[in-house]
Amino acid sequence: MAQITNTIRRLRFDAGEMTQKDLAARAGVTRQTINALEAGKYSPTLDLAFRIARVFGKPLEEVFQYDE
Amino acid sequence: MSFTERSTIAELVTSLAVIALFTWVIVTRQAEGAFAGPEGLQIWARQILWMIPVGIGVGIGVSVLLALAYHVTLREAFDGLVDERDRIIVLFGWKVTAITISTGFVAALAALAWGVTPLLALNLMLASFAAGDLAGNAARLWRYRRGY
Repeated sequence: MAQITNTIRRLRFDAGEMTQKDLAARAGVTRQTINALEAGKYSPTLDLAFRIARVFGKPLEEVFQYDE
Repeated sequence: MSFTERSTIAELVTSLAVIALFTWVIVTRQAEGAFAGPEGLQIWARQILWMIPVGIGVGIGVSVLLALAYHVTLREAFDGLVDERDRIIVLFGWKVTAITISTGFVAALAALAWGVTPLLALNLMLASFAAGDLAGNAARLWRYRRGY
């Protein structure tokens, strides 16, 4: 089964240990949504995926991966 | 805990309070024989019609009190942020509510077809609305607790 994984936790670490709260505020979502994303419990819409990638200044595929 | 998750808990508590109030009024009036006789259904309908705004008023009051209690206790204001995950969870809650109400409606119709009184069938429909509201909020809370 295909699964969407992400590197948000590592990217936050690389960005000076950015907090989930900071990322949530910059992406326009709740901290709980960022937590659910990192835990792999929730797959974002394309809109949110692009917004998160933009926060880190990375292309989408560096933040989210589609594992078959 | 997000704004909408806290709201869900507040709505669940409010629903329980309003349902308890409705049940108490209907059971008391039923015991008094208020709904007996040819005009019983009309009296029941009038009773429910005035109870609906009362229920809404109680709901608003409880929600405001809970919001204030949360603010005072945790010194954190409601930010009001609702994101895509919240909206999906809320939609799931609505789905559960709709299924519960539909099932209750059909059950009430079946009961009526089987020969129960129209008053009991109407009470069953009312109960299905209450159960639908509770089930929807409980389903939302369950989704929030498990993360999605």
